[in-house]
Amino acid sequence: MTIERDLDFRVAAWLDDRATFSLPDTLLERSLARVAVTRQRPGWLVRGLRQERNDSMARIRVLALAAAAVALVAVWLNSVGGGPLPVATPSPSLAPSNSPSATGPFLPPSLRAMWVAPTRTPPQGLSGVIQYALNLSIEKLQFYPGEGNPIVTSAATWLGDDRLTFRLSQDEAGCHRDDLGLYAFALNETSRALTLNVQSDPCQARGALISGDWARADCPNHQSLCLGDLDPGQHFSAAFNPFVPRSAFVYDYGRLSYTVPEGWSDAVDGPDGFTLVEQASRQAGAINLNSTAMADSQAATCPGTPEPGIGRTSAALSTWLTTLPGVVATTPTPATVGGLSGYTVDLTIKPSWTQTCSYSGGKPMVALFTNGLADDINFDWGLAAGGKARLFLLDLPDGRTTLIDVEVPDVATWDTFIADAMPVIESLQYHP
Amino acid sequence: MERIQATASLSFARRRLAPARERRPLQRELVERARAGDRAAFAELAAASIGRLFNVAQLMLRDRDLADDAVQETLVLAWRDLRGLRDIDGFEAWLHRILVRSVYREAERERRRSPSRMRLPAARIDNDSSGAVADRDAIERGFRRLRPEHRAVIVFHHYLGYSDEEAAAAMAIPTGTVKSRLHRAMSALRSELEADARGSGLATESAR
Repeated sequence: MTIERDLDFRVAAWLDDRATFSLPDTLLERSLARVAVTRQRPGWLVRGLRQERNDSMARIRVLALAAAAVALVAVWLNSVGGGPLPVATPSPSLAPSNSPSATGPFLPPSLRAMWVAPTRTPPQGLSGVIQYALNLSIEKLQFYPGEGNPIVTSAATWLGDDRLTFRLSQDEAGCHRDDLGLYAFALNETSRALTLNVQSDPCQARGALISGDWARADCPNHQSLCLGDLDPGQHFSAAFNPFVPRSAFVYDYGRLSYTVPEGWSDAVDGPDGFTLVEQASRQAGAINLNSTAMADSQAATCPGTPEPGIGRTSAALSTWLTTLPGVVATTPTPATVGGLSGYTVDLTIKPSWTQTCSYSGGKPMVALFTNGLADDINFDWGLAAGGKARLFLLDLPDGRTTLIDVEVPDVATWDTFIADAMPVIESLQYHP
Repeated sequence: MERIQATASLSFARRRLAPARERRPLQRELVERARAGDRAAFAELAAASIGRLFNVAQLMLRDRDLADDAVQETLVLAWRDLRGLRDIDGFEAWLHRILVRSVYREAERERRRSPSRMRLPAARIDNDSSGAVADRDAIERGFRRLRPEHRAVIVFHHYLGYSDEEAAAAMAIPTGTVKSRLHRAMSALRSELEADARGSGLATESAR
């Protein structure tokens, strides 16, 4: 085949050959985790910026900024290449299978993730900032406060071994653009736990925000920053907070702690919901926690509105469950979980029950709980035929009831799952 | 996704998830919902687009890590600026425009980090009678030497099969520029292949 002939065809064939059907691990989840903490710009602002980019004077400004950026990059390259910071050889003991690309001091893949950590006292000048999440991408650090845009955004560089540098992108938080911080990091064996220690950083706010222990948020549900697969041991929720109603929610790490053996995953961690599943049998069952449980309407249309006349305490709700015509319920018995008290009850659906809900996939279902909120954040929970659930209805100090639901969709798996789940339930601890 | 579906399949269903799966709303509806701030709708759009976005990015950048970063950046910027999208039906072209800009940025960062990379001479593979393997390797080498905007127009035209008008919309350039850019890109690739065929020995690969 000559070079001149059929080049179009050859290039097209080569591109098809090089296309891939395998996405990098969790690319969608990681992208959406960043989306989850990004605020949309108002339309008028986006269009205004676009218009400005088309404006000739703006182009001049852009060119000037670009020239300045080039100069900064030159300074940056100079400082990284010839500055006082040590450049070490990558340590095989730190990240043997996670070495970065052959060129460029990109962060190792083991560091590239969203990370969550306990809420800390904000440094001076950042009052109101709530510790939320740290995003380390291939060459960038972004810290997400509870609300608003990322702060202390910095260019990240791996120096090898356990050393990183972060160079601030703009003046903020009492710091100056190009402030260069040197940090040491350590990962545990599974790369699910990260410790960042400041070695030197003129930007004190950044040091205060990012130093310390972090947990990898490797969430399979991209609507939240849950941890995903868990190491054995104790863990904490990042967002779940049953102690405030949804309307008053703010991020507050650690309102729930739990201990799991090998093989469990945190699949959901949101303001009003939290879920744990077993990795080996994700279809087999789940432990679902919900912050607010109200009796759901029993109208045939499953409207998802609170059932009139039913109280919100654990006693009222557990008694109401025993009256539902489609449900087989055990007698509610007192229970205490994680410092909260209430009642526990086991539920199945009567074989004769035929009523369905629009969200039951054609299966007979009894609608049980709603959070009673507006439609866009409304949850309606129901038990479908063939499944079994153990509910813990626990009283909250403000008169609401929080719910723990241990549930399997196939009653044949109940004995196995409940035996695995109960030690986890017994480890739960609420932290008001 | 598998784990999400597994969780969602539990009988303790969350009603707001079920209708979306059942109705599979058109992209237009999803864009409208996402533009109104619905992250779940945006997640569906992203899930539907991410394979193509990643493929286009990795073909242009020839590096999975850089493509990974470019796609992440694309989706974050798309979400951030979605309210500024006037033409809902032009969502895909708009998304590709953001991707192209992100790819250019990644390519530029890579160029600054590794301005000159040594590579070994082309390996001659003679056990393939058609020379197809060696031919693909030669195209790979030639393609890597092209400027990012030339790689982009080739990918849109020869991989996605875009018309000049569609490629213009995706790259935010006039249709005439697409034609001239494609012509220059293919000429540049042809020149690279000719040089490669002559056998240049140890060469320096300069990222542009």
